[in-house]
Amino acid sequence: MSHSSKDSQEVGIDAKLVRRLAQMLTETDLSEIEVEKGDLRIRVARTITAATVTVAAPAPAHAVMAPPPVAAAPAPAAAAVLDAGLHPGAVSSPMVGTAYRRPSPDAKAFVEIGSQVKAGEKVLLVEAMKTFNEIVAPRAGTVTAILVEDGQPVEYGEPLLVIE
Amino acid sequence: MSVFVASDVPGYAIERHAAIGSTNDRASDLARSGLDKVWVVADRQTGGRGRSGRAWSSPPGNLYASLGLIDPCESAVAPQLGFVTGVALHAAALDATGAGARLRLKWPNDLLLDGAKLSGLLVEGGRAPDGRLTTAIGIGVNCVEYPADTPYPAISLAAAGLPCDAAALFTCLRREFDRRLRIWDRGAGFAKIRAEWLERAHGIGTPIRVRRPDGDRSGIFKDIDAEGRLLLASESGVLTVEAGDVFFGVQDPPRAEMKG
Repeated sequence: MSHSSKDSQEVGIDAKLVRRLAQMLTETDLSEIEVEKGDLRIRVARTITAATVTVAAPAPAHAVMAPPPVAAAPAPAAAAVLDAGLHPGAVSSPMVGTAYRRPSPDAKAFVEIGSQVKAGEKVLLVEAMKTFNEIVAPRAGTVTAILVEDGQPVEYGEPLLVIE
Repeated sequence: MSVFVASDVPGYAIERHAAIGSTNDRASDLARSGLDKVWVVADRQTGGRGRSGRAWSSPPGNLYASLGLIDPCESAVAPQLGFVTGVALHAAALDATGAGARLRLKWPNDLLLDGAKLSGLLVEGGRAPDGRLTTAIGIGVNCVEYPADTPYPAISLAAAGLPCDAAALFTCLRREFDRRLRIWDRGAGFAKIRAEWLERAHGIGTPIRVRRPDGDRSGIFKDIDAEGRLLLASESGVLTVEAGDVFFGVQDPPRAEMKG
């Protein structure tokens, strides 16, 4: 991926769209899908062994699509999102709920991309009906991708982050 | 200073504190260290917490109790513990006060007295070193004091003319909780808990507004589904809500962030 972290932050909000496009790609056996929405263009293509994504960076005028300023860390690169579900280091949600990256709205995030974590360390929270479930690192390693935004709804089994 | 004693309900223990930071933190630590079914109760908390790290005001006189559980169920059904506890707390409060229909449950699990917030509940799930699920179920009940600065009405038992001390309520709660935990049976009996919750619920069939991180949604509080999620009916269909703050009636809810 060659785009800057600012670019990936602005498209991070469309992680779900990218994932859905990637799914369609596999289901339809196409090699490429391109969608356009305003100045934002997403092209999902695949080669024989792996999927790649090219993202046309939106104009700054589209900052309205950016996540709220509390998301200090850049969202993961789209390619990471695509591959994450299959990644052996992916940590998935044990329940349907809402993912949180920090213990309270004004607190520091549990982890950022690049954070070193120990096995058992708290990395995210998933809330469902006022039950807050800690998501802990299943093994020691480095956080290489964070696939959810603060306050994002998540499904059972949905990949949340990748620890390598 | 703390005292550790066996509970009157077989299989449980009670750890009593004059003051503690958070009963939930302590119950969580005990469960992770391998001690199952320990109630942690304190006369006051110095760092009481509610949802999303909101402070829970904890002066002496009210009930502050948390129960730590080891491997109570699969993670996916852990949110049902909030309903198990809500139903138990409602039953305990009825027993202890005789308040009858003045006491209702607010989705998912707050206790309302005369329509005002009487209690708060916080379930936190974690992992023991061996990977088993641990949960801390925290319960705060306004027996004597209630915060005056909340953007929604709060109340205490004493203020409503229902004097009941925290210890008496706690005794009823320990018994009612164990009964519901057995009925729930690690999730297999949730249908029974759900039915009991619906009988005790406030506002089914009435207009509500649900505040979520992505905005407010209005509609009719239709039902809860088989998992306990709120079903909100509006012109655009039925929305399934798994998290959010509920406001009853059609008036605009307060803009300020809720406390407690």
